Amino acid sequence: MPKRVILIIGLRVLLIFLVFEFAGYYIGIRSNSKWKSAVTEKKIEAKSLKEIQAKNKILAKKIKSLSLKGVYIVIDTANNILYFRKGNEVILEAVISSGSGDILQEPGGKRKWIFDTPRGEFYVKSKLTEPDWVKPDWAFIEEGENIPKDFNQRIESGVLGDYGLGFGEGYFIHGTLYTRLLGRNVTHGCIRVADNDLKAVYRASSIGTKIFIY
Amino acid sequence: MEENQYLEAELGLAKAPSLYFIFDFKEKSVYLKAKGTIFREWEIRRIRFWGNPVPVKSFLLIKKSALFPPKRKSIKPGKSEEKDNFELEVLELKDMPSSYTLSIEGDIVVYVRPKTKSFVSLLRNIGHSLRWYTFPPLKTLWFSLKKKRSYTAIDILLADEKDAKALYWAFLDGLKGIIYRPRSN
Repeated sequence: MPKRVILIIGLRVLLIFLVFEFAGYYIGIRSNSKWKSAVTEKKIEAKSLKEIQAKNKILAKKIKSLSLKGVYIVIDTANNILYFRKGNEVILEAVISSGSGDILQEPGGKRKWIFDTPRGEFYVKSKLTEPDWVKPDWAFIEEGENIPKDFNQRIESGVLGDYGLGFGEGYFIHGTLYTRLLGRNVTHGCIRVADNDLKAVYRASSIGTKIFIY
Repeated sequence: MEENQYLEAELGLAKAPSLYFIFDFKEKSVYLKAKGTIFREWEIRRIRFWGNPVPVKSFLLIKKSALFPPKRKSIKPGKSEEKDNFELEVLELKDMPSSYTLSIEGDIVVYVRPKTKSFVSLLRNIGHSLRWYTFPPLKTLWFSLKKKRSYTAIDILLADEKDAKALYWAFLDGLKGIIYRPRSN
């Protein structure tokens, strides 16, 4: 194809593109101007303005009343830090380990596990001392072992540290033998804490203490 | 009035037993909160808007998308790594993308990028700016032709890569939040 023809086609395509762009810009700029334009509703009367301001104060007060006043736990899984807080004050800061995000697929089976630490709002549901680990099915599958039929073969002592705080669905804040891995995302979803920090958190927490994980 | 709507929306989110986000463009910050308490705050260095104003109410984060999304590792049964091995292949903050898109219900798209620190990120931001000035107008035209409400695009620049990665980490699909930019701002 002669170069001249290619050039003409190219220019026409560019022209069509520019027409579409300008049309889009025209529509977009009209919409965009609504971000900055002054409020076009009818002028708010002074009395209404005062009512709105009063209502805003009430709303702000309601939100403030919901804010956390007692002790609670905040877990930052990105930086692997646990904060034990009272109101806005941080009482304790601890390096932890949280979920690895890895996936385990059961060979020949349908089950799949994703080892994330759950996010959201929880609360302490149980407090245990010297907890035993009751190994779930995935722990055997991960090691390439057969899943035992005898329940007692699932119990492993001494791997979860001195204390455990359960917050639902099998997830715990517990101790660890792998203190060198604190600060890394290496667990199967639970939160691992060093012994001294865990002791402090355990003692200061009660059943119902809120836990926020993000 | 907008502040009233914002407070109403936040009260609704604060009452729920879950985390929520707030893009507060008046304060130039992004917050991750629960019960009205700020857990994490990200400073916004620069903001650009396109399209229709966003109503002040709670929205759902539908999905995050990135050119190179983080990939989870599949564990091979029977071949678990040394427990003390520091070469573990796990999903961590450093694996998160620093430039990505948040798709929020109501055809709202938030582009998140870090401030340029290296030559590579400078090139990436130039590419993004080209996309910002060409793609939204075309999409706006497409939405108009389809008689859909024009979509809204917001472009935010965070302080650094670590902040951008941390926001990607913290914002899970399904998280609810508010986008607040008073018209007087």
